Amino acid sequence: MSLKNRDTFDKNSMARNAPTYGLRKGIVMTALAVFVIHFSMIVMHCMPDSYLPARWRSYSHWYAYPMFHQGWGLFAPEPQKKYKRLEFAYAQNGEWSEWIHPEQRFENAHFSYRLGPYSKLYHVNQGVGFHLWRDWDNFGKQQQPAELYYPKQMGYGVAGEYAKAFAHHFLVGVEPDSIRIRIILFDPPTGALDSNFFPVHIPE
Amino acid sequence: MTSVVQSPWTIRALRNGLFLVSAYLILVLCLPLHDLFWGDDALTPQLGFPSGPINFLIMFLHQPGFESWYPIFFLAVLCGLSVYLVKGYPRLSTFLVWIGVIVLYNRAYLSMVGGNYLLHSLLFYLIFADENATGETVLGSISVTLTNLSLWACRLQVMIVYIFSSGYKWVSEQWRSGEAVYDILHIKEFSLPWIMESVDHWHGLAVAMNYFALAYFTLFSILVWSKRFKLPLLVIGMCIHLGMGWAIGIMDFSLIMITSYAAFLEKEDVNRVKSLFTRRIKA
Repeated sequence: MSLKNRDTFDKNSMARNAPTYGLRKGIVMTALAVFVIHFSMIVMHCMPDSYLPARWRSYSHWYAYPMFHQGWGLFAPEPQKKYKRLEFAYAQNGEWSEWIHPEQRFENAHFSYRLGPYSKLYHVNQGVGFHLWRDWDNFGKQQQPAELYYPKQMGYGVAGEYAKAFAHHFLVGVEPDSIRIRIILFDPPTGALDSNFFPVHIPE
Repeated sequence: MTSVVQSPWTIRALRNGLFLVSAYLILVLCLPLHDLFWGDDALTPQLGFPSGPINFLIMFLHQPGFESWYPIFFLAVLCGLSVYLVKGYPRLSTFLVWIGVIVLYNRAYLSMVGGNYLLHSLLFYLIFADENATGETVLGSISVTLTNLSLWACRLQVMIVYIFSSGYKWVSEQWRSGEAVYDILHIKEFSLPWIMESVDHWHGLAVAMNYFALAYFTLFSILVWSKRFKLPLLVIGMCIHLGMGWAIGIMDFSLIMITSYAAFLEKEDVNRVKSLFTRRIKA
């Protein structure tokens, strides 16, 4: 054995005989175990729901949401095929306004300044439209009438509050008593339009 | 047993990049419109959330009565960045930036893109990393172990993004048929007026881009470990993400993805690029 190798051997054996060796090894093994369990949960959370037993699925979602949540936006599995245009009408003192397109406030800035804050607001507006469209999409899969179904849905609730806040920030002098919400779906290649009106929203 | 930080340069580069992106997300994208994102009359309403101390903390601004506390989390980000610039303290500064960014963005949840989830995870893992750690004492060796594991956590997290992203795309009819890029560029939200007008004339190019992106996402997790292919792969990835970010209007997502590539870079890779440029200039 060369001198160099003997030195290495001696150092290793000294390290193994040191009183803290067991403690260090324990700590490293614990950290590794946490690492493995954490990433197992994350992988299960990201997998399609149908790939996992219900109990495992619920454990992984419980663990990952909301701190480690990784959803549709990160994996972008299916690009949207239709453009969703959100529209509001406001009633004030019994009179309804024209339909307002909130996206128009942010549209030009979104197209011109991709790194600017109004581009972000444009996506917020479209996010509201996306959640509302999801409620509409699921409406046909259940039996309740619209007046009972929509008020329990996230998209409808968010859209109502968004419409109220939009009036507060962008429409001078508008203090709505009630709000009408509709969504227009536009299919660009065919030019087909589809729309849905939602129950009147009464702001708190 | 490891008692040396494996890639201190990589950890430093990743942290610097994530801090720069966080500063952009908070100070440039949101601060000018802070009352719209977080104020008493914010555009998005508060949500309910599962109980528990961690959720209580990271969903703090969703609790009624705490809406107007958001400047505290701005300050957390600013303090984190300042402490890092002036004193170092990588763990403390990363914790402050992470808590500020995650609480603020969880409240403005409709402004979040996929990249935000990745940013939150990478910042969280880096809380455990200290590139200056030395493993001479018991505490030191714990510190080194945590640092090395946190870098591997960042790498694994980025790989999870690519593996699941490509997996989900392969089961999507839109991606398999080559129409995904063509379809998305028709949607006003994810396009530009002149692209929407002209995309029908270059349908073939859109299909080629679809399959190129699909191949890239699929091969990333394998080729990123090859010394030969890593640098070209990351440069192509930067171009894809910058082009995609500009064309479909989600630059913040692109910047976060590009920054995450730092987890795979070593100092030698940067030196190789530098020497390549130096040789070209000399020639």
